[in-house]
Amino acid sequence: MANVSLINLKKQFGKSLAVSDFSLEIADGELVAFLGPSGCGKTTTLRMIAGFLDPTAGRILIGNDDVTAVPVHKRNTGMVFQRYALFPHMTVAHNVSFGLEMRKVPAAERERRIGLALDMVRLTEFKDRYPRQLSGGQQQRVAIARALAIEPKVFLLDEPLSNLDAKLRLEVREDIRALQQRLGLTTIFVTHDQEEALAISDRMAIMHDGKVQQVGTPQDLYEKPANLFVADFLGKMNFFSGRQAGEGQFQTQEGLQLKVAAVAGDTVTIGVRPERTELSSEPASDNSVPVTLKSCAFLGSHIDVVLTGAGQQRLSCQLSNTAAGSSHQLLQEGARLFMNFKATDCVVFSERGAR
Amino acid sequence: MTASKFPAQRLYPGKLFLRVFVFFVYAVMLCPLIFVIWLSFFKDAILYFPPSGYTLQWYQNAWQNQAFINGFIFSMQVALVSALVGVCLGVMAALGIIRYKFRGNKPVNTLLLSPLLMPGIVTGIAIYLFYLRTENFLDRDIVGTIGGLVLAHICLTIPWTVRLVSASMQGLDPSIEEAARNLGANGRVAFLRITLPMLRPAIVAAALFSFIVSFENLEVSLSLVGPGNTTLPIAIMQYLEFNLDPTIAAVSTVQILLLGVIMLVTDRFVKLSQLV
Repeated sequence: MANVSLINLKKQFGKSLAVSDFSLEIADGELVAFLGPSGCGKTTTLRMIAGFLDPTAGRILIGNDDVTAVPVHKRNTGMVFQRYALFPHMTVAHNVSFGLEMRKVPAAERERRIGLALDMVRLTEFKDRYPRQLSGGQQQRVAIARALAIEPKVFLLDEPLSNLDAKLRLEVREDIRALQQRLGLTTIFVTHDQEEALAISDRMAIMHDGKVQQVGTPQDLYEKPANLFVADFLGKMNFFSGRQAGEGQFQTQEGLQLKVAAVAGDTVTIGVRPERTELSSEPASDNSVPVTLKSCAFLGSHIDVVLTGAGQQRLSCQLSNTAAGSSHQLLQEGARLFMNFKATDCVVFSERGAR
Repeated sequence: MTASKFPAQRLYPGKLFLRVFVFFVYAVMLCPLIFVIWLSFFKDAILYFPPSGYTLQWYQNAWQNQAFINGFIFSMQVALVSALVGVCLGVMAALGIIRYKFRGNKPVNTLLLSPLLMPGIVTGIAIYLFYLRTENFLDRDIVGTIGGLVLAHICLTIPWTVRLVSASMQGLDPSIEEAARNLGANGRVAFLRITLPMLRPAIVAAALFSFIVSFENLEVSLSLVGPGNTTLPIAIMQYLEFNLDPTIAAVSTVQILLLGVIMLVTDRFVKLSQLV
């Protein structure tokens, strides 16, 4: 395994810029997720690391070797594809064997490593089956075994769970994380599913329009989003536009006076997560915003409440379904309530929301 | 799927019409074949209905006719070589058209398919005239040589390969070959060990169709064969000029059975019905 450095990586397709100036250091044994909406450049970046695409500018280092000009088949990366990409005319064992044959590993050693790889993904008894005889989850596990059998320097996963149904997705995700931890694999995991990225990664890079928006641990990104895109893309957030109105004070454009711990001179937007708010019939907490209840959806473990604030502003509040569900009596359509939140739960931004 | 799971379906007028129509189409397609096979056993030398009896004499007659035997062997040889060369060239052409988006990609594709669209006799005459010009230019014989005939047949077989193989290639997931390269295979190895085997059904089908197209071709061969080099279809036509007995039916029956067997054997290895 090895560390990976991306240095000012850039990719241009004709006139459109797919990736612009991407720099990132990935430590040995770290799992980094590239997260973003489709077309944000995450897959393009991964394909440049694997060598399927030549960067327009910039350099790629794997274990301190510059591999920017090294062809795909000599890069020693192990890649897992969205649609499994198993060789349909070969058995599971032959699929896993292919990379070892290409490396001229002697037959006895090959057998041992095929056994190990299939054992890792618990598919030993399926080794003589053909891919079409396996379920989607099993096929993707074969693809993982095939990529890891060659003992790659970097493990690359391109939306590996997108083609699986919800239950398998969780199962394979846990498999990937467990293997990655046990083998200390330097891993890059591309996904558009934020829950996946949050659950699996050591650090994540959120991308949008070819640019990296923010890199950090899942907690960091969720609690301290660097900009409105990250805040909005990762989870939900209620935004208020306005300006600073004195020490620890923020005035919204609707005229509400809010207490915000981190407010600064350049703050023009503040945000608060729906799960950090509460509803009551009387004002409480640091901040209380008058709202009208529009609708609510019961989702089992929690309840999503949609509210209308001053100036028809759409707000949302997430209440957990606790045993003391007394406040839920308030949840009637058209009810006039207060949405309460703490000054320390507010996040500040120096850019204006698009609303 | 078991039939008992589903209640018997009501036969709507539309469905009934469809069934009758399908039956009719099959009947029209199969009738000539069935009649030819039946006729080949008629006893009478002049076709007479109903036959006065049945005999195997016409098969014996065909077997003893040197023109048919020579024609059969010659057609076999031409068809085998044409199919082999045509498939190789066609696979390469399909690869070029699908993989490399060069300028003039579409016109080249159309050009390669054009023998399918042209009446055979037109292609035949065109090739004949082209050969005559080339003969003058090179000062050597082409018309009437085996090489000239095989070359023309290759032109006829290429469209089948290009169509079947390029369709199959388009259906392949490109990430499969990428996976091979990622695992350490260079472009050539990835193609030979991964992509080519995945194209195998299409290539086998293409070879089969190429063989049949060449084997049964009459129109193009007609203007290109030389003395002593007569294909089976031409031998049949020449026989028909002076005879009308069921020998021809016997020869045709053998031909039908032969091609039928080849089809069935091929279908065991690759499912032709899924390709064509």
